[in-house]
Formats: sequence, C-alpha cells, structure tokens
Amino acid sequence: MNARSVEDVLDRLAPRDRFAHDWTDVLTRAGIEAVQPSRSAWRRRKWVLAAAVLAAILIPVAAATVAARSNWWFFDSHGDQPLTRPVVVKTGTWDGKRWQLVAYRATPEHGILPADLIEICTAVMPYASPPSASTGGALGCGGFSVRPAGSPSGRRGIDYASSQSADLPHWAAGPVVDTAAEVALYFRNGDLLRVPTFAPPEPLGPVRFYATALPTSTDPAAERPVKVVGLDKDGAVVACAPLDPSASC
Amino acid sequence: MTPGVSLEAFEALYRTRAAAFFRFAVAKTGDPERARDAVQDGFAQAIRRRGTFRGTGSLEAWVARCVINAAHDLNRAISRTTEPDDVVADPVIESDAGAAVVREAVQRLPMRQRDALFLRYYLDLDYRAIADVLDVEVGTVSSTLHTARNSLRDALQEVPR
Repeated sequence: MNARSVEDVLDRLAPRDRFAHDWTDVLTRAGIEAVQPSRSAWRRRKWVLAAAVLAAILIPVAAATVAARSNWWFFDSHGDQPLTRPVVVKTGTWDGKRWQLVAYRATPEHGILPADLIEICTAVMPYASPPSASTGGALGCGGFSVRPAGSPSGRRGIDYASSQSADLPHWAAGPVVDTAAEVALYFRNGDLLRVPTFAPPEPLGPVRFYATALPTSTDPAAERPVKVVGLDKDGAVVACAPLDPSASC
Repeated sequence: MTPGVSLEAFEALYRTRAAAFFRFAVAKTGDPERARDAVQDGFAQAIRRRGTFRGTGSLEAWVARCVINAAHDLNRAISRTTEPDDVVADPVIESDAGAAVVREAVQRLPMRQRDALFLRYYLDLDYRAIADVLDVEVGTVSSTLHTARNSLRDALQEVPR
C-alpha cells in the first residue's frame, strides 16, 4: 500500500466513484409518488387514461428496450430502463483527460411521467472503448420538463448532475430544453460560467445538453454552482434550476 | 411541511451532493451497495421528517445525520445475519497487508471520531455543521478530529514500506 497520509487512507477507504442518481427512487422510499400528490381528481383520472395509453405503447417498446440495453456500465448500477439506445452525445477533453457524454431516454422505475415530462439519463465518463470498460463516470436520471421555465407545470426545463473521480476533474452536465443555446452556471462567490449547449446526434426529445469542467478552488464549496440557467439565443431565460436552498429562479 | 424546506431543496442537495454522500456512506458501511441504500434511505428519511427540521443548522448537516442513521440501520441488519462488526470488509483496501493495518486503525477509532473524520473529509462539512450532526459542541469536534488524525498517523507509522 502506498498510503502515506490520512488523506490517502480515506481516499482508499472510499474511492471517488460513479454514483447513479435516482431521485425517483428516493421519493418512492419516502412514500411520495413521483407524480406530485397535490393533483386534482380530474388530473388523476387523466393519469389513469395516460397510464393505459402508455402501457399500450410500452408493451411493444419492451422488446426494443432489451435491444437498447447494450453493455453500458450504468445498467449494472441502477440506470433506469432505456426507451432509446444510449448514444454518445459529445466527446471532449478536460485537463488532458478525454471524456464522453452519453444519454438515453428512459422510463422511470417507479411510476409514469406526466405528459410534459420525459425521463432523460445523462452519464459523463472517461472515454473508453468498449463502453463497458469505462470507470470513473457518473449517471444521473431525472424527469425532465419539455416546457420552458415559468410554465404552469412548475418544472424547470433543465437538469443537473455533477461528479468527479480520479479519472475526470469536477464536472457538471445535464439536459436542457432545446430552445437553450447556452447554460449559465452561477457560483456562490458571484462568478458566472457560460457554456454552449449541443444537440444529441439522434432524437431524444426536445432536449439539448451541456457539459463543462467546473473551476477549481481551494474551497470545495465554492466549486459548486448554486443555480443553473438555460438561455436562448437572445439571452432570455428559458430554463432554471436552483441547486442550493439559498438560490431562487 | 415546514416552509422553506421544499422537496426542490432536497432534490437540489441530492443532485449536487449525492456522490459525496455516497463516498461517506461507503466509508461508513464498507460496501457500495449498502452505501447506496444508505444514501437513498437517508434522503428519504430526511424528506419524511422534513417537518421536524428546525432550520437552525444546514440542511446538508441534517441530511447527513439521516444518512448516518440509515447506514447504522443497514449495518445492524447485516451484522445480525453475518458478522458483528460495524464496518464490513472492503475488498479494495484489504488487498494487501499494509492496507489491512490502516483499515483496522480506522475501524478501531471510536465511532464519533470516525464519523467526524468522514464528515469532514468526504462531505467537507465545517466544524459547526459536524457539531450539529454529532450533537456535540464545536470545540469537541476540533479535539475529536485532532485525536482521530493522530491515531491514524500513528497507524501509518506501523505500515511496512
């Protein structure tokens, strides 16, 4: 063992590793429906209808789903069931380390999504071939609004995942409504980072994606954005999500 | 539900910090699968009990306490059926003798020292937040961390080079 400091020991005890986010699972464990429980009886009935329609759609999709599950590592670690095959949306290099962003459209494990939501899973990982060989990445899945910020649905039009590992620097990435040309990340110290969005090579719904390495700081808390905002080509806000209880949209 | 602690606040914390909570839980449980359950259950527990959050400390510290509780519950459930120890074998760090020495040193730390160390290192909580999680005075956190670090440094001296 090469550990020569307490920090080495702790790094080895719990290495930086991928974590498959699953917010829907948290809500289920908390006894909360993924669909907000405050809906009216009429809306609930619409849900039953939607469920019946979706079930009819999903049955034939199930066969395709099997084909969509290639040997990507995230399907071994709770990645949600794919409705589309995972596609490499973008590759790049951060600090000399090559990465790839892979995304797919999924069906949530616990429940059916409202009509204005789609489930998008986004993974950022070191570039590797074959894909099953990749380690040091992270996957996030979440209900993603196809409506812009401020819509009555109250959804946000942007999602956010972040991680770091021995193989990649601290990064942030996620889907955003397809009207967003840029994503702005606001930091606690007032700094602002604006990054362009990019489209998937295959249709995943009305979404684009963003991905960026986060600035490094001696204060790890300062590296975390407090808010992410999607901006259209004219600079108007089309999506927004607070990432800190102190932030608002 | 307490005003100001919305599901969105929990979700925001989860989206940004779940990976750090996961490392913390891996250190607590020694098993990635159980650690994942501890994170998911901990957040779920925090959501269920959000009405009791007083708002005097940080939400992250409060969730950390829930994740610790969940990890303890899971470890207890396992130890009833398999082994009596609080921390279960970690195949990564037990791959050589030197690692085993250090790992044992971590296991030998009193639970409060271990928790303080993990909260500081993996979650980067400040002393005030650690004090909230462990329900101790801030000054106690400082001395607890100091003692824990010294114990581990001593153990490192014993590791064959």
